[in-house]
Amino acid sequence: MKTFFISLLFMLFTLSLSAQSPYPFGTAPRSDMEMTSYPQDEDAAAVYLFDWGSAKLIIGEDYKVNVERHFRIKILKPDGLDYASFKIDAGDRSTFTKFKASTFNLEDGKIVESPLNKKDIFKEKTGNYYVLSFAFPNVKVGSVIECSYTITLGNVYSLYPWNFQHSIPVAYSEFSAIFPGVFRYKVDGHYGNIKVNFNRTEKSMIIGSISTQELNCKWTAGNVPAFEPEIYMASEAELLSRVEFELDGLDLPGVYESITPTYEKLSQKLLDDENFGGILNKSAFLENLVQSITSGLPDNITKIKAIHKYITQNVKWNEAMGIFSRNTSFKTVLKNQSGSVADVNLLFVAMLQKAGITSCPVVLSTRENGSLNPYFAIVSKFNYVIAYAKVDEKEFLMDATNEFRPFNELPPECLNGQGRTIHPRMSKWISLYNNEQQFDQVSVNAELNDNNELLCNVQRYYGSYSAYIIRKKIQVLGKEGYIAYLKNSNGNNEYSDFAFQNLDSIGRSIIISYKVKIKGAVQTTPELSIINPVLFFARTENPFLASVRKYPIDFESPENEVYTLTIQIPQHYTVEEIPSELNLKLEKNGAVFNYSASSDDGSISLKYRFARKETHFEVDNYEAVKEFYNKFIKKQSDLIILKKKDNAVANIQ
Amino acid sequence: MKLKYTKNLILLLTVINFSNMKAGNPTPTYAVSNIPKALLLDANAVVRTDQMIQTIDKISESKSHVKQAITILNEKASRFRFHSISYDAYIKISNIKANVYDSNGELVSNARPSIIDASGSFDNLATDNRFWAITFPVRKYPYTIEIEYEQTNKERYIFESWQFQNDDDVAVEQSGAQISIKKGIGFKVYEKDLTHPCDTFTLEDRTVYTWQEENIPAKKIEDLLMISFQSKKPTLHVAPDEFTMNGMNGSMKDWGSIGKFFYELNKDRDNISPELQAKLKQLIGSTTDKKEIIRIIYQYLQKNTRYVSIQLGIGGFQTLEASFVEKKGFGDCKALSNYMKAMLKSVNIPSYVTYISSEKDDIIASFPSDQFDHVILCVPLNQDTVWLECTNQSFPFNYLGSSNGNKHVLLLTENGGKLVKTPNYKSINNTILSNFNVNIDFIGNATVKGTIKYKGASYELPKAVMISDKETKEQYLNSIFASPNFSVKNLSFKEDTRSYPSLAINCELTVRDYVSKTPKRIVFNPYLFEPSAYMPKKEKMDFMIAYSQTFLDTVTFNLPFGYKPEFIPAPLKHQSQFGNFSYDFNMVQDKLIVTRKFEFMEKKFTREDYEGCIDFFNPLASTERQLVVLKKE
Repeated sequence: MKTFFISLLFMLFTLSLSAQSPYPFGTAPRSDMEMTSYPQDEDAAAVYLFDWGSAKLIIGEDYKVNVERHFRIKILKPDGLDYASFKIDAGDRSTFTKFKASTFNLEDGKIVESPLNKKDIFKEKTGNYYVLSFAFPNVKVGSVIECSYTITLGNVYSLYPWNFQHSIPVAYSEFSAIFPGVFRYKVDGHYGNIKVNFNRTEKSMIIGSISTQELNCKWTAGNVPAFEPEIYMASEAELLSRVEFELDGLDLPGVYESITPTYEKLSQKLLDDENFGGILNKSAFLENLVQSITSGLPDNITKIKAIHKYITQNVKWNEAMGIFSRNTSFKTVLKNQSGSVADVNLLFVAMLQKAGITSCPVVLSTRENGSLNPYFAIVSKFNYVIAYAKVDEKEFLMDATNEFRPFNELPPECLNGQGRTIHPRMSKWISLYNNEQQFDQVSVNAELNDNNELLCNVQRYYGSYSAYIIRKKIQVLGKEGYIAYLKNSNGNNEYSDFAFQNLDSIGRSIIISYKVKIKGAVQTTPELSIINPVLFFARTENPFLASVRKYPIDFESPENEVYTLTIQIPQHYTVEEIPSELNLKLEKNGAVFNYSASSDDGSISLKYRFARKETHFEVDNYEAVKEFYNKFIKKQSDLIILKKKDNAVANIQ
Repeated sequence: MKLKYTKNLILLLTVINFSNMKAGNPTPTYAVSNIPKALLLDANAVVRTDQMIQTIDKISESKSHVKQAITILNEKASRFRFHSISYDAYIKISNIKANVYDSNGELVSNARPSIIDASGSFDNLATDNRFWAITFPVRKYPYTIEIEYEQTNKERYIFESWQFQNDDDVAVEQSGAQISIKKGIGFKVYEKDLTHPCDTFTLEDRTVYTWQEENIPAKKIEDLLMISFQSKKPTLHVAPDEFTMNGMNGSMKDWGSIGKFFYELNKDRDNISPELQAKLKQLIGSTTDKKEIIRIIYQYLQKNTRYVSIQLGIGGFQTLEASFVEKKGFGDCKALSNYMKAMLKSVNIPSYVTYISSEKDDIIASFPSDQFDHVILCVPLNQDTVWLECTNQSFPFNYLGSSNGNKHVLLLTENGGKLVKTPNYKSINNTILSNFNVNIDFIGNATVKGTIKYKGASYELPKAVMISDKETKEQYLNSIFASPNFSVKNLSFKEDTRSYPSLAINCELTVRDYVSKTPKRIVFNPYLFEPSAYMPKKEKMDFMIAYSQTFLDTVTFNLPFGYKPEFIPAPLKHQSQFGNFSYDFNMVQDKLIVTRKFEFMEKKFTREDYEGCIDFFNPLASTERQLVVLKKE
């Protein structure tokens, strides 16, 4: 990432506050040594008795962050032994400045210490960065492991991020950030549902010729529960309770040096950068290329599609993320035929602009990366850039990294709230959504034969994200492989007559049709035939089974599902029972389910529709969502009961 | 397919050149589109190439060049991101190259795998066990990883055995080994189910043997219930007649010689301190029954030591001293077995350290060689034998676990090696008895309450679940019961290890919508447990009933008020060479009692019996899906 940093001349700093761990090393009380389970969470395999950290900004010839850590963990169950090894990101440091680690065991009533030797710390080097790892000795269930270390890291922009939560509970968490008041930091606190206390003290200090305050900001939290993933939730980056920093600017006497911009100023900053705006502007040479692609095309939408197609087929995304191009000209990107997401989508914007289409880049943070802070811009949070275009008052958000997606379909990773348009005059927030959804329609025409087998003609329509998944699968397996895969998933049925439509027409829904003879769909008694009408398409499991939900439910995208069935009934049967109608609704039509069945002379028709428009449900709504899913999934196993006509019973043996 | 070599190519053999292993074929590119579609079926990854070229000039040294490339297709094969190459003072690894290729087969130059030289030891163990850990970066699937390196073995085994296909869910495009061995160095070969014969090429001073297989598909024949499908697996073992290790000479001509070598290598390392001896005497007290004494000492071992994984075959085959395990409280399988032996020796009970293979299949008893990777202890008594798994802290006494059962193992005795067989836990007294009460209310929900008692080898899985976390326990219940939507009200495990491995689970569940309701009827499946899968009508293969087992269930359904049975399935009985089963459905007042008895015997069958097996199992699977229909009164 391009640095916004200006070099500052400062003299040596004066001695100032430093934080200290509240617990001396190796003083775990008897009660902790004897603990057999953590009262706040009986199932916990291990628990942080305390987790302490401090990050102190040190100004000298260079800018460094002096990080001190001290933690103590109690191992409660065999699974907890996994927590006795650690990997620490050490930046460009290859060793700790100070290091002490020991395992404490209760043996025959005495506390026995097994220290870890510093020579057993392993260094891993990747490029210029080190990861230091170590494993505690002599660990068993009941051990208390303790470690304290000091390491000097280099990233002044982000100071040191602190997680209050881990995958095991934390009895007490404390973090102090200490820095001269001239450094103004944006503090991005994601506390979630953890109660975090904050306290700030100041002490005067002198830096060079400037008299200022040294700030000691302290965060504490007690009884922090373990972070446990739940089904359909946002990413860990989004939900884990933590605090992060970004250097906003330097508050010098008489002037404020802004280091990282506000959202309003972000646009200009990016457009001034040679790896963002710079590369966009050096696009004169694209004129001819754009002409050759779009000449003769009737309207702007067709032109956009043509440019999109050109890029997806000629520039392969190398899966590198980030909003800055690694190049200073698109010439390199086109020559290499590959690029990062910034290369690909900024090129897209440049070519659209050359074609006379209103277009600009949009920067965003993907789902995996967590959502953007709505109040202040943390530049390092943006990790993806897409293209915006406006045609006749219609707005499109587009991505050219994937040849199997149509021009106006964003990958699910991008559907993360709002992004920021980057434009010299009019930068704004924009909702990251075109009309992406899962779209799956099944249409079955079935006939019950004399052997109680169902002969079905199936037509399946896949649109939007559902179509993408099919296209990808077929790309890997081939049509024959895909057919084999379908056959294998329902081994006892007989398939034939497969037909595929629109596989290569990227913007259009795919239609797959086939015939299948289903053997297990009908259960018989001497008088009755019982059919499960949703066949093997039915959902059977409610994903929301837990009685308590901690985090909001978060789906990637909306969902649309339709099922229609018509069954021809042989003459010697009458329709004894068909499922009743059911209409369900979640508040504000966040989701709806409509189910109805009817019978006529010799045939039964059944139809249901499931549409979930809403992608985010707060914890308060959990019971309602759980109940909705329970009811509509259960409905899919409702049965049709046919009865043999009396005179027929005698004939059929 | 005959492989042709020209004189130039022979010279090139010493300069590693893989592209000529299959003369006439261009070097395969790693593009995913080049993978034959048939190999993609059911595969989570595809081995594009897996080659080893080995040169042996004297029995104490060999040089190998290894190259492997795997295309990872999806998340299920993400384990291939992690690769480790073990070595020690006798093995040298050099010229490690690791690369990443994207789905088009193009080298990704900015995706650097991390290559770390790591210690394989714990706790200040001053050993030479080390390994190179290669970690490939996370990328969107599919992509290809490639590893290449050179290995020199000195004073170590100079053979390699070659698995053409290592994982069932991984297809293999190309896999092979080549050994170039100087004349006069004797070795033997075991080959099974190879599609190409070994290509032999004799030169003046040596002979070059090449084995190559290609296009091996992934095996997605999932074992069903107790049926294990035996597919033909190309297998190759090579072993030297003589070998040198740790400065000592040995012979592999028979099991006796092999055992003698390891016995000599490991003897006299079994002395414990006087303090420990006194402690053991104290624990034994006045007990004189030998079996009881062994049990007491085994329990002491389980409580006071833990297993640390160091693979057999690395760092010499010599065990750590018993005094080390006594002091540190941990060891690998050979150290822990040796330590147990030392403790028994101190009370005058002789025992044998025993080599065993932990692979799924037994070793090839007709091919004396080192096919072992694990160590246990054998304690022969007058009337019977006690077998001890010294690395497991929770196994009952005298139980090796079903995966160690019925295998040929090598006892290391003072008179040389002796090949014997471990007990077959899969064929004795394996029972699962279940007794449940199901109360169905008029809304259609049910409470399920009862016990499952496991006896014998079937106890192993619930035992592992018993000491696991809550999530694993719930997943286990999910795998047993057919209903997908239930919540657990009560769950407890109780183990009884006195006489024979056995464990009981007590549980109470509430199941929403256990039955299907129509306006006039209630319909439900009276089979509480996960129904058997239908046997697939695939190509016939050899198969076996993997273990003997008896299932006995009694489930009592308390039917809701206001309904009477309209249809109850008919009882079913079937006896065959594959096993016996009987189903009974009885109405007693307002209760429906469903009893089931299955009995299977461990036995091998050929493909000719496959149809007959389908005719036995599929009606069983159908019966398990039959419905009970109740009608409103």
